[in-house]
Amino acid sequence: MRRWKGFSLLLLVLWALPIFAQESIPNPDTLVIVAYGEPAELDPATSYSARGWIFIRNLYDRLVQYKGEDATTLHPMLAESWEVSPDGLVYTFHLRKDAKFHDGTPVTAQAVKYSFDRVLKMNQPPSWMLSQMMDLNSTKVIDDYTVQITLTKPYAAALAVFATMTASIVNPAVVEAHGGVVENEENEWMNMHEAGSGPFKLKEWIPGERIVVERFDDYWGGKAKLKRVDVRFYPEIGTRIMLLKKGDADIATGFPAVNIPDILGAEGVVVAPYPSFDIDFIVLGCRGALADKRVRQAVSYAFPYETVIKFVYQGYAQRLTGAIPKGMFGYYEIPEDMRYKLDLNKANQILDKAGYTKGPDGMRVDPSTGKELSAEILVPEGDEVRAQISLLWQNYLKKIGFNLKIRTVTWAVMYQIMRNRESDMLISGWLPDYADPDNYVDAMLRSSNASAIWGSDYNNPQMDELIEKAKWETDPQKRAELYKQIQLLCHEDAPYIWIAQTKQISVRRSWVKGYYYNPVQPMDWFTIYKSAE
Amino acid sequence: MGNYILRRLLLLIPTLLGILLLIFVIAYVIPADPARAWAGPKARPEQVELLRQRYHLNDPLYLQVYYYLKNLLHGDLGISATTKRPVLDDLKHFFPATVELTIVAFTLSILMGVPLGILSAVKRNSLVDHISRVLALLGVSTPLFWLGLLVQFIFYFKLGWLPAGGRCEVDLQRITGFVILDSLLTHNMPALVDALKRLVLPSFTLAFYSMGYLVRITRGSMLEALQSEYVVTARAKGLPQRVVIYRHALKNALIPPLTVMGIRLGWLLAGTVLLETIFAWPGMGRYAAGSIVQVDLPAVVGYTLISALVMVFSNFFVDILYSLIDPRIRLGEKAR
Repeated sequence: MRRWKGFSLLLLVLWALPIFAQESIPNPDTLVIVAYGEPAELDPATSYSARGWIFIRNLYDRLVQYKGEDATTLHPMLAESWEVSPDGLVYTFHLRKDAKFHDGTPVTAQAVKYSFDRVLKMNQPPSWMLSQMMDLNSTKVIDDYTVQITLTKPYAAALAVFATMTASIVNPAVVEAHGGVVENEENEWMNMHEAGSGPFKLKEWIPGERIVVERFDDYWGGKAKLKRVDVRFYPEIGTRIMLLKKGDADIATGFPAVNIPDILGAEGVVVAPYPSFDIDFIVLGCRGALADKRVRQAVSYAFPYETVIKFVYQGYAQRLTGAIPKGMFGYYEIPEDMRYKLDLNKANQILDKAGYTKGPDGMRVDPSTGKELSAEILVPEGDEVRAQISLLWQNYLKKIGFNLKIRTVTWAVMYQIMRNRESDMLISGWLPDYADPDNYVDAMLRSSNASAIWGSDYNNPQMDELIEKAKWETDPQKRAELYKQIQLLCHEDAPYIWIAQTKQISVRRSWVKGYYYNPVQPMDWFTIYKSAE
Repeated sequence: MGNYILRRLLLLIPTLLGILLLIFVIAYVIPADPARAWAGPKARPEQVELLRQRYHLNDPLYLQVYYYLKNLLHGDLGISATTKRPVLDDLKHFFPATVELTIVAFTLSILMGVPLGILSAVKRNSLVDHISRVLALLGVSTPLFWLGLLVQFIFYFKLGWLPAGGRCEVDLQRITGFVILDSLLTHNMPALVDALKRLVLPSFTLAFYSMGYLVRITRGSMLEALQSEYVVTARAKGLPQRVVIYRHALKNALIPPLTVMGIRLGWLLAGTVLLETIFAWPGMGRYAAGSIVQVDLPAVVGYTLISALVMVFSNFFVDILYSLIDPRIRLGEKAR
């Protein structure tokens, strides 16, 4: 009897062991992410925000992809191999034969053509990435697993564009069964559902609450380690911090640098900064007092670069000297002795030399208009980091006799005010669409885009010419030289203040393994797993 | 009575039309660029222009209103520019969450506020009175978001008794949009327990806020009634204290709290942004705030129409209750 008791006890312990072992990590097969806000849509042809792209990355596949943290070399994804013609115009992709959509049908060359043509026809906000280099005649199906794309112009960044979320491959049968493709229109069904071949498939989307994806077991790359990813929307940062600290969430996204001290040092929580291609800047509208290049240079010398990086970004940022971020092709660092740094003497000298004399109150006056030297900056409402930066700058500008007025407005109003030329400056940022300098200089320094996107009056024909040349140059060496010239000219013209290149801060539980950060691709759930070791 | 109801319902039409016009005018005059906000800062001008055309943003104001009204007659509230879903679907989704929270919070606030107010008045200047007055003061003066964060910190973070927020994180088939009802309909006990647990903190926070007002109004009105002549008469007649308080004084004292409750109900049903944000409650407040920031006109108009309807109906409901409590009030009849 006693022996039986002992045996049963042993059995009980053996049975209970896995329970205790599992208890340290809640839901080992499910990744719980707490996010600030939900995407507006999951359709690759329509989505143009990081909130949507994180899902598209994991629900869909693309022809090529970056691997791990490297953002310079493209690797096979749906395309096993590819050739590029010597003139850089024709790209021939050979597709893998074992890739399947979530409904079990094979991913073919027809689907690739359908997907690219769909983006072009729908003409939604991210479509310019494809339409700048191809049209409806570009993509040709050679056979079921070979597709040929003839660019309208040889674009050196074409492969990088094929790796964007916008160039994801959709299942034609599913799209056709749900509204098909209508020119210049969104597809409402595709906004809320998916038609992909990625490692995860959409299980449910409860608006305002959560989006759940489940593993796709027939994925060509093998099964993902996680069975399920549950993204829950918690708009309040304080709540996200508590959930993470308690271990009820595995990853928290949307962490402003100013909130990092709240989570640093918490037990079982990892705060890891990664170099990113994200940049923050101030658009100097090049009108009013800022129409004069010398004034723009002077205010650039009155910006506290180091203080901002150390105290506002809490050290999670690095100096930026031009439009192209460090680590990207074409990056050129303005030499130390030329670079803008906080130097009030130099700023004062420039303004003195330019004839802006100081009045009795210490503020400078524009000799041509007789008006006080001043400008207004627009700051997005609720953005603590940018508000602090503007306040710091205002303080330094006062010391050189420049009056900075700060106006806080909502995003929607901000752009209209700038476009209407009712304000002079804007504090904003840029995240990469794809890893190429053209994505930065074209959007910020080309006069037409400076005006249309940022409401700036910056217009230098020499700059426009250089950007156009660099865009279509296929020789990497010549291209890099052109980007160097662009950055030097930009330094001279000073149409922006390059605040910093920020770091991406990943905040997660220490049991989350297999996580990596790539500066141009959203979070990859395929490699992630949970383990206490 | 029937006549009165009909008249009130007919009055709804000009009221709602007025509100609708007002929103369109406001949206038209603010210097926003909604299309740019919807397309994202990086979109190129051609695509932003497409959005402007799609939402008739280039048309004059009267045409915009005309298109809206035309669609409204077909029961179409338009497509939200921020969620990309039909506004009607969004409202069907977010409104039940608010209703669910409101019903619980509203009931709780009445259960706490009215008895406490009565007790406070009946036992004037006693310890009970002092405590209830302090509670009322706390309820009225404590900022909602602060109280929300506090209870969340204590009951979730420190004690771990209740979840931090959300509505239901157990898999559940959504049928009606009311999570509690859906979990009962599908016999999903884990979902029911989860949903009920998640209701506690936000509903308590909301109820505590409303309770403060109710205690104060009930107490004041009850004190006034207790000093009135008919109560003195009732007492002189030798009626027992219980009858004097509950049958004579209370019935007359209930009119002001009822008015407050009507307004509170409408206010609760319109959703509360801060509370919904803290507790990640997917209700009307967050939907409205998100839409307003993005100048998402179809969503804002849809939300406002629903809120206006709710306000009108809760006042209407209170009016009917008046006549039930006080037989002297005859709805829709001219004073004789």
